[in-house]
Amino acid sequence: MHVLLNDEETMLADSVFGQAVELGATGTEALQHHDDRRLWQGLATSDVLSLGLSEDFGGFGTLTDAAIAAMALGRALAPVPYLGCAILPTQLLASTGGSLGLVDDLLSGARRVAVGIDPNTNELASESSARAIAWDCAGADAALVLDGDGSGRLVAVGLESLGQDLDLTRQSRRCALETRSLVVGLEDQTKGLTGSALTRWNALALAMVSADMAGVMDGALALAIEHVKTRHQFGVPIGTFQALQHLLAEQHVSLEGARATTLYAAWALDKRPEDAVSAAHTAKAYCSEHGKRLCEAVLQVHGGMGVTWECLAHVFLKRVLFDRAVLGDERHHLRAIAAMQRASGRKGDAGGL
Amino acid sequence: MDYDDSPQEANFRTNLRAWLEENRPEPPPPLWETAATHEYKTKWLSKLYDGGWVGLSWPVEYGGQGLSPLYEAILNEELGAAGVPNAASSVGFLGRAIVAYGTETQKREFLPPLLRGESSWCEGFSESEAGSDLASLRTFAEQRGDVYVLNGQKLWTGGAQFADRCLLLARTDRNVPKHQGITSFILRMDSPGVTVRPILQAWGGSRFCEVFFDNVEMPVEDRLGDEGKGWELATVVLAYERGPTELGIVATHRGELRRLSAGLLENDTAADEAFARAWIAVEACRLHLLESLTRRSMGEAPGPSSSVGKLLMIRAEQKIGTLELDSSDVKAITGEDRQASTRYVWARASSVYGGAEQIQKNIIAQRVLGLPRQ
Repeated sequence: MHVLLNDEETMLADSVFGQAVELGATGTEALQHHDDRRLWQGLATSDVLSLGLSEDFGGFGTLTDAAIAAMALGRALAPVPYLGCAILPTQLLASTGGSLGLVDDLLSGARRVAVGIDPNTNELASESSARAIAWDCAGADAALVLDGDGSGRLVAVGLESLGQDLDLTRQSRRCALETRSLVVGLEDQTKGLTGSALTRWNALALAMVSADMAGVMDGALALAIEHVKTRHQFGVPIGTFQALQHLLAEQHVSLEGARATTLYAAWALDKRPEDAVSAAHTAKAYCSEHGKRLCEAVLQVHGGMGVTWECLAHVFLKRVLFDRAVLGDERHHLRAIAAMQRASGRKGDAGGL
Repeated sequence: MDYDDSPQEANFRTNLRAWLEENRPEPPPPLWETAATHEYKTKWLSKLYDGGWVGLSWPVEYGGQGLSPLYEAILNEELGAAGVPNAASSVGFLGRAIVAYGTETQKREFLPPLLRGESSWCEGFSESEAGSDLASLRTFAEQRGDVYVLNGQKLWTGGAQFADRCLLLARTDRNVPKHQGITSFILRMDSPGVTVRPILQAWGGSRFCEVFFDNVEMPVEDRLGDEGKGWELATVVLAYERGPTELGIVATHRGELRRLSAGLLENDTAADEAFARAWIAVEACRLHLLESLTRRSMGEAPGPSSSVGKLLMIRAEQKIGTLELDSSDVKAITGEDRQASTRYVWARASSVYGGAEQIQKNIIAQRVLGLPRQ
């Protein structure tokens, strides 16, 4: 047992964070007019887009690595669709056994395709869903959803604008389920996506979105700590006030809980599949609930500054709200956990993959 | 990251499970039967000792096995999962003080009986005016020749009514800053002038006591460590109070949650959410503790971040306590389900003992986050 990042994992976290800070955007003004291609290309070149994918598809490293990279990008508020246009679609394509050419294009950064989520079921959408949203789809020209014929094959559909996204760092679009996209070549889908492959992909998606939230929480809390050390009122730094110390200590505890549940969820996908689904629900419920609370507290400690457009507090908060909404908020996952425990109490089944 | 047991750890776990299968004790008496609970735990501790499961991470020369603290954690995790008491907690952290500060003679005299469960120890730290502000303690030990003469009183001394030894903190110098005037002693509880008065607590049992000292004579050789080193020793003991044993508590909580999940009804979303909030709180605590244990197994001393584990534990315990209360319907209130009401009230104490929740937050704010002191 070694429940700590090893040296390579620590280096990965530092290098992805460093890359995001160097090539990404800081400040609200820059984020709104940001061209994300340099950072995207940088992540492709350093194989960060390929993390956790099977080597047969040109992948590299583990899903734990992918989660560590996602945390670093969340912490840096990186305005790139790492999950929506790299990890989630490539993992989905790989589980059909085909479309190597498209996977290649996605990993090299040459093109971007997103995935469609049904907001009613919080699972991968199909053409027959009432509604589907492509989350985190900046730069994508299509989204993958299940064929409406029930075969478990993937099809690509077009994207339509929904409005101005709340999150300043990511985008969402409506999937035009009635129009198949002809621009995406999906070939050799030897394996239809069965129940267990979809279950695994869903758990993977939950772990990765949780990782983004854990990273956002880390970055947001660091911002607040810096602020209370430097902002003076009544002649002293406001960080000397116990009310603020306790509020921030509480948030630090939540951050540690978020990191712990998230890293385990990612690792379970790599090494302990029988526990992966439960761990994914746990991480998504934990990070959604505590991530929102933490970012609200960060906004609060900034006082009037915290509710200005210029201060990054609302950018962290909105990114967490985006992640919280993707694939279901804490209430959805809390109920899923209770349902799994009820079922395992009856059948002695742990509810794994 | 690696949450899997190493081959040695896995082997240890397998052997332990097989032993537990053979040696499972009767179910424990109800929590509020304090004396019966103590007797039960003492018996269980000596059975564990005979099985070779006590003192795993202690030095070999004092009856231990010299293993990494991860083995203590596995032991406690398996004991908790098997629903049997984790009897070795005080042995772990009080013994740690003797290992770290004791003379050779003290180690040889006190450690083996502590391990075997033949000797029962209590921790005489807190006083009525020195709880969260422990360094303000006033119990005074004055050296007169080859004895120290002890006067004062302790409060919240757990298990003092059953203990034959007390790891005691007393002031030996009133003329230096408060942290520097404290010294640690090993007090023999049968010394003339020691009076123990159990405190009946809100949950109906007496886990804690008041202890009074009236001109109690302690031989100089029962001082533990140098004069003035008591505060440093207390810091070590309090940090070790958490750690491996907490994983056992978490495993017990997982068992409780499994039991409570059986009572969840279909279509009661509010109850489902309350249950799952307790579940995720327990998981966060468990997974964070594994991280702390890994750090400890690498030789890192427990530091201020152990307060994070304590706060995660408080959150988990109090959510479970409330879940017990609410899922008993009205039975906890009417007296039909005393187990549920006891567990609930006991869980409220978790944010008080071992350093109150607010003190833990001060520690995190100032020593982990680096916020300025006033």
